[in-house]
Amino acid sequence: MSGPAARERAWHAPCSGNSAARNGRSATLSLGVLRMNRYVALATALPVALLTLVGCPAEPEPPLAIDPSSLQAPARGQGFQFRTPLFQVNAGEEVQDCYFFKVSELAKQGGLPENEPVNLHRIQMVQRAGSHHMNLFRVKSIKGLDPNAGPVSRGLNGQGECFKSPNWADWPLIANTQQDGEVDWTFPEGVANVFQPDEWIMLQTHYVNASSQKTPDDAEVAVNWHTIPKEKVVHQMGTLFATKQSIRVCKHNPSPEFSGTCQFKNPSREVNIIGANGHFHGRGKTFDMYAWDGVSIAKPADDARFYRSEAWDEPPMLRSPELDLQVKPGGGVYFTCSYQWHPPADEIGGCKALDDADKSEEKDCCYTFGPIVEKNEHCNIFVYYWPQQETGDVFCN
Amino acid sequence: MIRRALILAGATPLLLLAAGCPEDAPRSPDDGGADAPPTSVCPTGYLGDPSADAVVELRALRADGTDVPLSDGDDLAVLFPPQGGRVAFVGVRALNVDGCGVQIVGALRDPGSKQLRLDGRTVNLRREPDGWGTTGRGTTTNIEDSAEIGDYSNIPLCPNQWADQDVFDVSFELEVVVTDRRKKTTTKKIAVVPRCAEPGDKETACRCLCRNGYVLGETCGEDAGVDGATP
Repeated sequence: MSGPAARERAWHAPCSGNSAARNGRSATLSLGVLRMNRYVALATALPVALLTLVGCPAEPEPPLAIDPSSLQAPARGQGFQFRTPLFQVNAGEEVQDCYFFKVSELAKQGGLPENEPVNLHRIQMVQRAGSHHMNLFRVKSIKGLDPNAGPVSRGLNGQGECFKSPNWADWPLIANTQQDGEVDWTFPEGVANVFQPDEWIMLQTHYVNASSQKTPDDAEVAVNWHTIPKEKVVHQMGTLFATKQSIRVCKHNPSPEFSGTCQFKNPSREVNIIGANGHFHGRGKTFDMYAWDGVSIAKPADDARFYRSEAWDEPPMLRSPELDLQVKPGGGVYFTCSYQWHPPADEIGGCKALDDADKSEEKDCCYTFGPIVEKNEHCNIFVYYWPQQETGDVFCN
Repeated sequence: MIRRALILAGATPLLLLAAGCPEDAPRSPDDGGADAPPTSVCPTGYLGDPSADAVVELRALRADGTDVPLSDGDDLAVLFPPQGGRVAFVGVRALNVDGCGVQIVGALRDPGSKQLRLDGRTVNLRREPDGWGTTGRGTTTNIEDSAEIGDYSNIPLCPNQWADQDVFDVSFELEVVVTDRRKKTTTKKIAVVPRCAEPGDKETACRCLCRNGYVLGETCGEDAGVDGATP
């Protein structure tokens, strides 16, 4: 470990439990391949947090609000807040909406210079119960989803441009949460995700009110961006997004595993991974990520594994300071998604519904790629790192 | 929740006793020991002689969806898949392996930097009349359909953020590892030349996305690989 991360760790070491306690769910220790639940995480983090309160000179930050309406905005000139309106998710519905925001307008709203880059250093995301996920993207190539077409594109039960993932195939992820998730993430000292004033960002909310997940009340999401001045930016952060889409989980191939790789094109220096999250649906059994050398075809050894999720509906979102992994020059990430087929629920139409949706001639009650939790599967990884690559953010299809 | 977990932990052995043995559970591709061949869960069954070495021939999809043999020095079609970007669809024809739950890992390696991109997946091979097993459907495959290409290794090639040369018109190394449920494994390596195989706008976009030094977000034309497909 070196650079800003080392400095951050050195300075904050006695106080590092503070953010762990705030984040709760993030306390999934990677290299030990242990997935702690929130209670274990809390039990681990609490003594450290108490020590922090007793022994650390810095004023502890207030806990993150879990109700979007009570999330306090950053101080004027130090960031801004944006949010969705309250909206309803009726029984049996999956609602996926894409909200667009222009960086310069957000900056102006927060009292920042509207014609200068925004240097994101800390992000807070809060959502009401029922969310399947919340993704925040940086808009790149515009296809079916166009910010100039309006501030929001709504999707319902798999229909609408906001459900079509090719629309954001090359949009780098800024941050994301899963079900029951809230995020409060401060990047290492000197690291910022830099946004130009003319850029758009897209907040994608996905709420489910069905058998697998419930949305008991109205839905709502709020996000805070805390910024640092440009003279404090030492390294830009980058994101890596990889997805497997031609996946099938079938009755007669009931335990498939899909694997992929994605490297940072950086042959001469290390890359620091400071955030990781995997996403699959209800047939998902194990989601693993490994540090990888960029040249080996074999799956890395267990001691290279830095991420494991065994709970599709509450996957760990690892982030710094708990996750601070240095990848050797030329290396990257090797990931695997393994599944276990089980019969689809009668209420969604059983195997007939899956077969009807399967364009292949093979009708084998297969779950295929797609957004509908009850019928489809995913295999996506989101990795956050610094310094950003010369070839931009990283996408592996 | 803790109390529920404790109750569950305590009750689990009793539930296991009540439920009997887990013989009916679907088997994992990893659970086939060498001594006790796993029960086949697909109609293919065992292909050939279990005591003989596995034999594997490489195959790939062309732009028109036909499945063709792949030999050393051949062209490898670089194609626009539903997931965007550009990939190569690589399959196999195999003998003396368990045809159910076969793990196929396909990789393309830059011979200069040794960097590679890979895709691995568990598939059922389809039994041919001659006793061999093949990936795919045996007829023309619709490469625009995620369901039909799912039995091929979808090797992700572009956007080219990994190779030190263009991923077209120059030689690369193709490596494929096939492992069946009994852990019988074999590897094939050949040289191939990736070619942007779809004409018109798709070829233009392919040559843009697959060139050395491509920067994510750089415009490569209307057909850069993110339109058209519904997940």
